[in-house]
Amino acid sequence: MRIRNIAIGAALLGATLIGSAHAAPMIDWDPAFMWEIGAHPTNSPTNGEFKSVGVISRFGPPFEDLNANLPAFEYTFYMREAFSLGTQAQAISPTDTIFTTTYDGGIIEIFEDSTPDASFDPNPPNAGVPTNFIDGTPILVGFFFQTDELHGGPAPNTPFIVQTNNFTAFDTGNAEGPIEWTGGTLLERLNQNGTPCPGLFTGALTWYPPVMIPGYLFRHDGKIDHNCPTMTNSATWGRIKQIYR
Amino acid sequence: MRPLATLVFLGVVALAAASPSAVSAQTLLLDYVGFDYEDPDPIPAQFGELGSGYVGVGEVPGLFAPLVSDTITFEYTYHISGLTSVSVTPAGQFIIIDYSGGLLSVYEDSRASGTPFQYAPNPPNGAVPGTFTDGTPFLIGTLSGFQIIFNTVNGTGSYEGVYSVTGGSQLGNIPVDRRTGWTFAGITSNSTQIPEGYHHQVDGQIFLNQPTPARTSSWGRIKATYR
Repeated sequence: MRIRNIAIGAALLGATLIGSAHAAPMIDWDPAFMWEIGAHPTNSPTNGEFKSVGVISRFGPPFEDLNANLPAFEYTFYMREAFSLGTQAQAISPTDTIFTTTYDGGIIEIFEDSTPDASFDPNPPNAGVPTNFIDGTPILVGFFFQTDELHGGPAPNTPFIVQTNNFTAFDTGNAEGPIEWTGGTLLERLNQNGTPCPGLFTGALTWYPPVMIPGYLFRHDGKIDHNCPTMTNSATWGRIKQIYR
Repeated sequence: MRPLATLVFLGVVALAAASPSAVSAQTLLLDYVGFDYEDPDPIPAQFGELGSGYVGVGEVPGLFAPLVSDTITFEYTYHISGLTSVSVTPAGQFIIIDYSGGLLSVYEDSRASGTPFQYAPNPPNGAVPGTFTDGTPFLIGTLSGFQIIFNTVNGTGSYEGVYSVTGGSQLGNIPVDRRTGWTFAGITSNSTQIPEGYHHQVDGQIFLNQPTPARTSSWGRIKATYR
């Protein structure tokens, strides 16, 4: 039994290494813009609704057959119903502070549209935003959820977080949250052992005025990973054997 | 030219020069995704320790004007190197790491005859960064003011730095007064796609600053110049 288990462990490790040879994002966008009425990059009042729209620029496995750059199609996403739990400040120095906003909930939808019309019109919501990002067929629908498994312990990971600060030269931070996929015409492609793997929404954000559009809170450069559980944690051969003893 | 016509012409020029878009627009130059690791890595159990080197490797799926690229024929990869941790500031669940030096280079490698990039485990090794730095240097640039902010509890963060284009086959396509800009990226340790031996997944971009020709001036001052 021990030998068999070690063999399984080795096989899993090998599969992981091969799989990592070309780890392209499942969905990559360029860009996305975010807004939240009443919020500032360093302060989000409690219960404020965070929203985002984006234009997808590339697909990776398991959607590598989709071409995001065909003129006749556009792929977009819309995120909504993420409600602020407030912003926490962490002082770095008497003048420098990092701000973390956590959000409760959140829905994200990915659309395929044969009438390309998405445009980041200023001051959303407006006639074009989010309307022109949510027409077409929803190919994926999901929810942001709270999980501790990614950290293997009781880390206080939240559904969706935004981290900003008041000291970076180019006004940069990041946003991230795990997604549970529940619908859409291509949901089945996410299955592993009969269940959709979670997604990971991640990437950098900026509020640097020269790259912003009036009325938006952040510009986001990010992606969603197909975050299936794999043995990617570092381990020695001895440690793997120990796991299966 | 008649004085009135001259004044009208100058007025139009002045208004155009002062328009907000000319002042504020910046150009997206690159979009890149990949992974990072440390080399040298004096304390492997730590990230960003003093003296450690930050290295990034990955692919460049987005290349924008004035760059001239051919993603059908070539693969484009990036390599961040030469960054040394010189300051680590812990604050609560965050660490802020400042680096000296640095290069961010992009390479163009034939898909037909070149070597495909490979995220081989536990870099540096025979494939990393080698399969990301083969081919023709497409864009070479220096990094300065490179800084990482990372939340050690939730495993996410970001970096940014000033970027100055100094070489590569595309240097001539970038006007001399537009060769400085900045890069930023999100980094996360929460992706299950991270190969063994790498610290974070990285998703970043480079922007180039636009020249800023606008200078405020009064109508009287413009007229006075040509009297």
